[in-house]
Amino acid sequence: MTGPGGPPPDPDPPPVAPVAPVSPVAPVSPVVVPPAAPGVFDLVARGARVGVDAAGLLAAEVADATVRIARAVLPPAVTTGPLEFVGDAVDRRRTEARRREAASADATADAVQAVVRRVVELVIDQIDMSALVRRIPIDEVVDQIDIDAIAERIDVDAVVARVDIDAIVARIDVAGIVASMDLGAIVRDSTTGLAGETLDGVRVQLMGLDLLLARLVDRITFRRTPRDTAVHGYDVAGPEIRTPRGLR
Amino acid sequence: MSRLIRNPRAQALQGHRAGIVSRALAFAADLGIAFVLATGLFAGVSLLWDLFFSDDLGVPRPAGGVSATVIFVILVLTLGLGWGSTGRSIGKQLVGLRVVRADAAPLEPGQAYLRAILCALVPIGLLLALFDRRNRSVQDVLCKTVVVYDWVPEVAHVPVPRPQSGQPGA
Repeated sequence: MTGPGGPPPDPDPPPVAPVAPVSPVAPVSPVVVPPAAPGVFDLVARGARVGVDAAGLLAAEVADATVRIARAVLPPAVTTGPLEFVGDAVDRRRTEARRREAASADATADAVQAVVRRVVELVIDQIDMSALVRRIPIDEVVDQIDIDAIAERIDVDAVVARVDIDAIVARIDVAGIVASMDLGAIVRDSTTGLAGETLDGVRVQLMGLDLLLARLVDRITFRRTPRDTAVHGYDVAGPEIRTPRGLR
Repeated sequence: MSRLIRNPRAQALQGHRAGIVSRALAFAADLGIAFVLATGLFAGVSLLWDLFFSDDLGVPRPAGGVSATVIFVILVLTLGLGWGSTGRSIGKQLVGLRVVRADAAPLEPGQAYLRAILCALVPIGLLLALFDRRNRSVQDVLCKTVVVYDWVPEVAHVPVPRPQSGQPGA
């Protein structure tokens, strides 16, 4: 498996533009590549330019070979001065010719790309895409897709691991939710509900015994009037906690 | 917001004078709590004493008079404290009773402690409630107090303010 960061560097990079082992004495004229998109005419012209450059390089090759032969054949005293002059000229030309050759090749490639792009656009314009799509058997294509196999290849754990749960939680307004809940009422209802119900059951029994005994005694003592159990002014829901004198 | 009392007869009797059975049970509960507190006090003091001044730990066995006195004091303190503040001792809170003055006002502390002493000294005085037309015990007659049914304490009546966004002065 390759780690993150893209493919490993190519251990064997392709060679740069092949350089002709030649020193040209080529006909040189400055060519200005037009910035506009090249067309078919440009393609032809630049193809011809490449041919001319190749011919120039060939001529330079011949000149270079001639110089080497002259060096080998003629006596050094005679040949040193002129041949060195010619050699320097050949070296200068060689550099210029290589640059021009590369520029011509690039320009030609651009022209080829532009022409091909134009042709493809024309072809695409001619195609009725909707008719083409209509002819595609969508159902058959879909039938051939194995969704389960695709799903099996999905690493759910990796997907989940990339989800920033903390960021999601941070966006939830927990304080607002808690504030909207009446926790006090919930706690009060649950506790008084359970404990209160049980206690009230016992209290009702005691209250019944109170009344039973009182009635029994009243009957034994021949009391005619019922007991007076009311307490005037007592408020069941009123305040109970006595306020100390110092706090009044 | 007040807590619901399901039994309608019991609901109707809230704020009325309580009978002898409820009151006797409440007093028994208070007495039991005083016993437990006294035992814990004896055990705790004895343990501390043995830790610092004795070689071995022993179970205290105080004389009967000492025990009775300690229980009496604890009982009077707990009863007086409860009746002088909310009108409810722990036992009365359990049974759902409350002690107030005859005019329905809360007891003054002196009144509460006097009633507590009388109750602790002569608990038999409660028997009068069985025969009195207004369910008064001897202590009630002497201290001018009444004991009423009041199952729901004040805190259960007070609605807790609901926290709301935008409420001023929150």
